[in-house]
Amino acid sequence: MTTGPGNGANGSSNTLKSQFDGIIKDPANSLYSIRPNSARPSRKSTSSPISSTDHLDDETKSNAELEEINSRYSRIARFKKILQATNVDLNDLKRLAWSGIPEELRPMSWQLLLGYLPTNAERRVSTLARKRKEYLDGVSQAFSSGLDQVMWHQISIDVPRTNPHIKLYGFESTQRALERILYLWAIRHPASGYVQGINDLVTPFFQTFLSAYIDGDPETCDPGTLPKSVLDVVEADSFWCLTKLLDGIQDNYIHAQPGIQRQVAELRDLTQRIDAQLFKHLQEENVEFMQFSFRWMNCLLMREVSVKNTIRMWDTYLAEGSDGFSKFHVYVCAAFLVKWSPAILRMDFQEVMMFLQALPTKDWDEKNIELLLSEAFMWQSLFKNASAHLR
Amino acid sequence: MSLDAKIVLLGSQGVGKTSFVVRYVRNTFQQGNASTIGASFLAKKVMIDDYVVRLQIWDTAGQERFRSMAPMYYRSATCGILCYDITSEASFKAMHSWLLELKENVDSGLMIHIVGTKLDLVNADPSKREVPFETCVAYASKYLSSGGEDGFDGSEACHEISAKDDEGVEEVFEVITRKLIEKRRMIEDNYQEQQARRQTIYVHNDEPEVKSGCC
Repeated sequence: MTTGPGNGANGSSNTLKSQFDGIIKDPANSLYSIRPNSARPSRKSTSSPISSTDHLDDETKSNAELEEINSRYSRIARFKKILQATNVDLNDLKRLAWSGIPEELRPMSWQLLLGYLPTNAERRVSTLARKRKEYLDGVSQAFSSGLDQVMWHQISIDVPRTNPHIKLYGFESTQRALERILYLWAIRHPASGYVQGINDLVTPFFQTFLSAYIDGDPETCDPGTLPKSVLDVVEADSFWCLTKLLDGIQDNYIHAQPGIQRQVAELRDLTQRIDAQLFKHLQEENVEFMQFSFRWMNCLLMREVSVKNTIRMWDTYLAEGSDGFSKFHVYVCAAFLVKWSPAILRMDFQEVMMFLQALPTKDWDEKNIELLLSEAFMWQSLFKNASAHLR
Repeated sequence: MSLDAKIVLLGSQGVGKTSFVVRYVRNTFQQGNASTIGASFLAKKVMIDDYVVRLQIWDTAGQERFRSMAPMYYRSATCGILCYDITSEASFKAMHSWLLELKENVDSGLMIHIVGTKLDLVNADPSKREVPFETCVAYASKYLSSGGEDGFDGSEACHEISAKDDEGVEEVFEVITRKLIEKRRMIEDNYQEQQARRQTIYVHNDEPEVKSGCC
């Protein structure tokens, strides 16, 4: 490819989509402008980004690349068919989404799967307008009365250390938006309040929804350069979707974190059945499951894999339905743990702990995640609802 | 000779527990570490005198919500390090509840040290200090001396450090390690002494028995 602008690294390659106004009103408006060959280069690709989206440089494309574009096109077409219906069939959408959602269709698909965006096309525009106004009103109310100083302190010291390696999260406008989202959520959920790790969970939403309005990688985008109308909706949608997500895993964050206690116990149980040798070794070395997997549950493995990989995981979690984040996640953790079994079996307590805290997943791409998800699916099919009589 | 020491770090959110221990173990510093969830584990091997000491350090999460997990880490500890930020009086006050919790749940043999962090901020701007070192020393003298040692001077257990400028970090662990070795030696000496005494008592006790059998 010779047409790349070659400035992908400095962040200035992100441009606002011309039809942003329409997308703000109704995300379905983004569907018309998706072209199969406007694929953003995958992050593994070493070639420069395709800048001219309207013509294919056939000579420089291999058959494999063309095939990939073709399969992408038919996949997008299938999604579009579902998303453009007057009444979106969520079951159809889930079936497709399980294997991953094309990134252009992800913002709208996620909002539907979370039950934030109405499935009925006629209700979309008014619902979105109302929810976004509700959020903005909520924020101005929360910040006009006296702040809960303890809560605010906790949030304001965590926001600057959220995804510190990604440019997007270093920008002023991102940090202020995350503060507002987290603070409003926290004061509206006093039983849990702000718990460390929730700051991680908001980021897949924030960058996915941001991606709806720009061309280029959201991780290098400075939202401060975008119109306020765009920023406001990205923020409001992130808030509501975070709220929906946390509704499903509330007991992870209330006093004594019973949800996490349960999931860690389930992981222990599953590991014993899937890989007895590993289980025995961990026991002999006095490694407690709580010591390494608490974080896996509290942050949904976000400290173990990149945000981009997390986003791919969430396609599947959302397709799994209401307990994707609480039940299916445990199977994913089990598949994740036994993956390292050969290495762990050779280690003593100290080595196991160090290893499990810094797993070699830096180079993981979508393929690794998809393998993990399919392994988790297999364990789930084998063991779901079987726990009682197998014990 | 070798010695295993389990150290647990406790203290409020954001005082810099992770920065402190990462500076010690890896000699690096990074502004804005991601928050610690649950606890993280670090290890370091040091040689002092003729002892090889394996330090196993649990760096716990500071947030209140994770507090119910803390006993898992401090119960088996040989030393607790309570951390506060010298530019935050609130973090110093919050330390007290950790101390009370330790005293209530761990036997009195647990060694406790207090570390004030972010000394670099105060070096750059002295007006930022909210907790004078003397306050910490007075606190330590009052609350840490109940172990029964005579003439306990709180300053022995108080430190101020900067992870950023690498100031005082090494020293904290050296002091603790030396104390642990000292303690081990005392226990070993005691043991040998006791063994010796036990034998003496044995001999001593034998006599009346023999006598009573005789009468």
